[in-house]
Amino acid sequence: MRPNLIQTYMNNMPQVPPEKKDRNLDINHVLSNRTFIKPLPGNGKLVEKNILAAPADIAKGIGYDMRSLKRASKGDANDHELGKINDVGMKLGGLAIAAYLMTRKQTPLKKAMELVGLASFFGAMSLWPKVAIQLPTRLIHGFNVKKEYEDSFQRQKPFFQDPMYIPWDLVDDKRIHKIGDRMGVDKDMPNRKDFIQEKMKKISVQDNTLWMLTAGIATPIASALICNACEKPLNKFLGKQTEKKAERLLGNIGESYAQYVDNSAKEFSELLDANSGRPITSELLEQIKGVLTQNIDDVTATAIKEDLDVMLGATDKKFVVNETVVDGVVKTIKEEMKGIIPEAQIDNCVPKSEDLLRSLSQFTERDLNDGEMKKVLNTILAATKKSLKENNVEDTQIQTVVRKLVNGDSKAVEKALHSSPAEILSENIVSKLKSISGTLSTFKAKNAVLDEYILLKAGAAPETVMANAWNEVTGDLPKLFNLTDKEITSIRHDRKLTGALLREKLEAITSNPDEYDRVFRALAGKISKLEDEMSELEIPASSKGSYNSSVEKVFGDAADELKESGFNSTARRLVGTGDNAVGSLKNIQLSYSQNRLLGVRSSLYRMLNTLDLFKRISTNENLQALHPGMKKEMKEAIVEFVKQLAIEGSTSDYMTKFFASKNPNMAQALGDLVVEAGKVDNEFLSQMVQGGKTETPYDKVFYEEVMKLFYENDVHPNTKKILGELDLEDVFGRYRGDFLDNLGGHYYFVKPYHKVAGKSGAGSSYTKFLRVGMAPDQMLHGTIKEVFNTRQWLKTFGGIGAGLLGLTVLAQFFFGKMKTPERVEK
Amino acid sequence: MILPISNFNNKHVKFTSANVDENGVKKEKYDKDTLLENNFATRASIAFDKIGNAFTLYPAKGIKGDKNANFYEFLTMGTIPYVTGSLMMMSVFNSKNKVFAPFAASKAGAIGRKMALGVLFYGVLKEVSKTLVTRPVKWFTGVDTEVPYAKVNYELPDDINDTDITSIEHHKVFESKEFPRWDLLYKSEAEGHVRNEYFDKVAKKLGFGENLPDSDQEMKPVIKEIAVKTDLAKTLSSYLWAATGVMLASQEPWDDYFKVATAKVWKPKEFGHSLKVFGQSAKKSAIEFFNGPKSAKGFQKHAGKVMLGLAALSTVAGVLNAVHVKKPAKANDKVIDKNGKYVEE
Repeated sequence: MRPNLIQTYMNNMPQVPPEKKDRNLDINHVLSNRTFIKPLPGNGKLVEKNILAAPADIAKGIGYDMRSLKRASKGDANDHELGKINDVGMKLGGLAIAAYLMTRKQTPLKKAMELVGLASFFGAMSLWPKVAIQLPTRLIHGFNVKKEYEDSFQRQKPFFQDPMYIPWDLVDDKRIHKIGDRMGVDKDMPNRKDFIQEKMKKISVQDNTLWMLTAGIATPIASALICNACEKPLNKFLGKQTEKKAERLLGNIGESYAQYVDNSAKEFSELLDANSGRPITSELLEQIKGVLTQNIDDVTATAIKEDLDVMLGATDKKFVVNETVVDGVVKTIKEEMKGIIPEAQIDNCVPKSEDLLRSLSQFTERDLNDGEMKKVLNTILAATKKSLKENNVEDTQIQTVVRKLVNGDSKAVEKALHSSPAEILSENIVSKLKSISGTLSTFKAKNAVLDEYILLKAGAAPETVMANAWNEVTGDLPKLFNLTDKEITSIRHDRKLTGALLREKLEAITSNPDEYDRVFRALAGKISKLEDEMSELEIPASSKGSYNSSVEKVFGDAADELKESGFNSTARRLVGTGDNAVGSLKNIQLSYSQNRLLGVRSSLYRMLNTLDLFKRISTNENLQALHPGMKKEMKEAIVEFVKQLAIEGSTSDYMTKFFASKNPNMAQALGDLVVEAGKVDNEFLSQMVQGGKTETPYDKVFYEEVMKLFYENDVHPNTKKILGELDLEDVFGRYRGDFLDNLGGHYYFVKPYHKVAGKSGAGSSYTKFLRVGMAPDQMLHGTIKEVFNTRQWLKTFGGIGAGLLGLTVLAQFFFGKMKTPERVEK
Repeated sequence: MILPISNFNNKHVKFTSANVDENGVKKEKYDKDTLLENNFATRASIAFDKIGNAFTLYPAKGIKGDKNANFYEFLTMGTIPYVTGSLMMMSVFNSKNKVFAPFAASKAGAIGRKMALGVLFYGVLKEVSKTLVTRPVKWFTGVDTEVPYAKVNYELPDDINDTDITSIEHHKVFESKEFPRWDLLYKSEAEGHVRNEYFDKVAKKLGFGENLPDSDQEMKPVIKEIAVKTDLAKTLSSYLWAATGVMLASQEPWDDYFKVATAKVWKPKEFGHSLKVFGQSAKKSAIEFFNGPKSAKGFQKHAGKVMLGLAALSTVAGVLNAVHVKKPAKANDKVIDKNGKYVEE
């Protein structure tokens, strides 16, 4: 057993003589007269961090890490350097994860958030001890527990890392005593410096333990909270980048299209060069069609194929009969005879090529049409029959052979005969086709730029300019409508409950003038911003550089060039005929953006229109549709219905002309509506209906009055004022007018030609759907679900984070408690 | 504060390092620093001891600011944030999903569970991958950079009645590359061993020859070089493998597993089915990770291969670098002429 040095020392310890209390002992004098050899003076120092020097420190740190890596790879690194490599490895691994996950994400924000996640994790790891431990300890106890020092080899290490080895010699006494003063250590205490150092050491051990206990819980929460906080501003920043990118693409379409040019033109050119001067066989024609229509939609591709058929003579095909063709036919006849005629006799039974050519002399040296080719076939068959007879083949066998030659499954003889089309892929055709291919290639590339632009701007995808603007408006709705956490929780699962709550909120808001102005102005303001961002899509084609004019130019240029080359069908497909562009590709390109804009605009203006409607009802103003001659019960029914329609109505409600449930025998009484706090005090509607309410189809009057009330009657003066200030009055007016145009019409009514306010009801079902837009309750419900999820998460983890921070700080008030040594009395 | 040693009455002090109590019963497993076998049982026992202490004894000592709390204990407590952090990370992504609306919950759950699996795979692959470096290095060089030892530590007594002042720490011989515990690698001649047995073996394995006059002195720098290089390879590759684990866990086919996942071992049928689907999902996920998702284009299609290749490369290159040691030039025997005589003038 190894001797225990302490035990040995204790056993042999000399008896300590009674302490001689020499109060005049001058320790400095004693120490200055030491005779033992002193160690070399250390070159270490405390590291004083300076925020201005941070970039230089970071660069220095990276340099040190790189040197450590190099030395470690040679096997020379020390422990400190290897420790640094661990940090490098952790960051490298994190970067690898973020980079990989970025490849799995589709949108810029999602990709960027992977990097933010990584940075926030490392940031949280580094921030937590600084905020929750270093700062409170500094404030409570007066010293920096995360202080670093540089050792004699310029290695930076935490001062309090190892409680068994704290380089106190680097701190001057004055500094320690100052900390002692801050800690409230008795100034007259003997061995005061030791006591303060012990206290600091104790606090550092406690702090380091607290750090280990809390970091695991705090880091993921802090990281997630940082991510949460970063998402919105980052999305804003990326949104602006997206917009810039889109504008750059469109602005430089003359150059930017080059990156979208595919390889098909080159491939096509190679195909043409390889076949130049050869007959245009059906196989070659298919190849040409295939390559020229690569990456082109089916409708345009069909048009291109039609044009190719015309250009390459496929519609009026002619053939030539020459020695090669006749040799091929003879060979095929021999093949076909196998199994019918004994093989040994076949060569004799088939007419010789020279003989056939002689009998076909009138058909060679010129292009033959279908009728002439039939005659050639008949001549060949006759010669074959003759040859068979001369070789004493039985009649039945001859008939079998002829049947097979004419009607065989594969019609091999006919094919062999048609193997040499008269049309040749001449140099002129090659050059024409190359020019067409160039036009189509440029068109495809420029069209790809237009597609990319419109996708970035208004695509049905997340993080487009339009989607961001939409989120900006809808994301604020819960706050705008003053929804409390409790309300959000109670309605989050049910759209119906959302609608009911929204109605309550609208009635409350519209009955308070200030509140209405606040909500309407905020909402309209955001919509106005969206209008600005989307205005590009509405600049007319006559204005150079706009999206619409670019579409006109790209499609127009391509169509003109194609027409010149004789590709009329394709040109028609691109731009239509004359002024009629309906169904053309150009029209599809233009209407995509218009429809997207229409859908978004209708949804948002519907919310504004709903607010205005509720305001007019709340204040009993501008309700001209509810004219004095109308029964009061009817007025009440209309108002009740229109409120519901505004909040939750869908396209089908308009299409079925409000198959509403009403009292079939309304009271005759006239009178004005009574409204209190935004709610109508219903005199009749609240009463039981004798025999029950009845669903009334095709109720022209009811439909007309509801439509007039909602879309035709003047807006409230406050609404008008705010819209005017935001320059939205015209566009809002157009929205209401167009709505009446598209949905105020007679369709579905049994009585044809019925018109509402003189409107016909034009427009496709799709346009009508887009005009109605998203119902406000649906819009709010969608937002609420997201808000609820985020709030729930924040409440729980924000709570845990805040609680943990509080506890961590609080605990530090109890750290460093030490019994003050008793003063030794004289 | 350190108590003045004169305050002790040595008659009361019984050190546990004496390894027996008053009744002669052995108290501590070790009474001196002891080299341990690097086998599964030892590793498991050390891990158990360290994790146990990391969550109980060391925090209790540390939070009191115990004068005996040391750097080893602080480092051992580093396990706490790893474990709590992993659990918290899983919780952050999953615990609130149940209160979300069903569709949102299912969407968030699909991502959250994969994140949780990623955290698990990160930890597992980070630890397991280290052996992909240390084992081959041991096979090729004979140097086991992971060989553990038990360190007997004497603490300061809390008061004059505190007689339990011994603590056992578990370290590795090559934990410090600057100060490896060479002393533990020498064999006892009293027990019939050759003193430099360990160094002789390493020298032979590395091709430095046999019966070297001072194998320990010759091999120490070489072993140190191997230990440093192994540490580098182990560190870098372990993080890349850990990252690969997260990437593997992010693949779509895991959704199949999560539909049937259960930890209810007391329901063998369900548990067995869950394990079976785990295997199938792991296989499909590995394929998807390697080939990229069906819709992948460009780099996305090859990202998995690149990441996997990087991790594998870091291991292979690291091992090759570690086993490739510089052989010192052979000493020139003629530097000292052994036959020469010193003549005093």
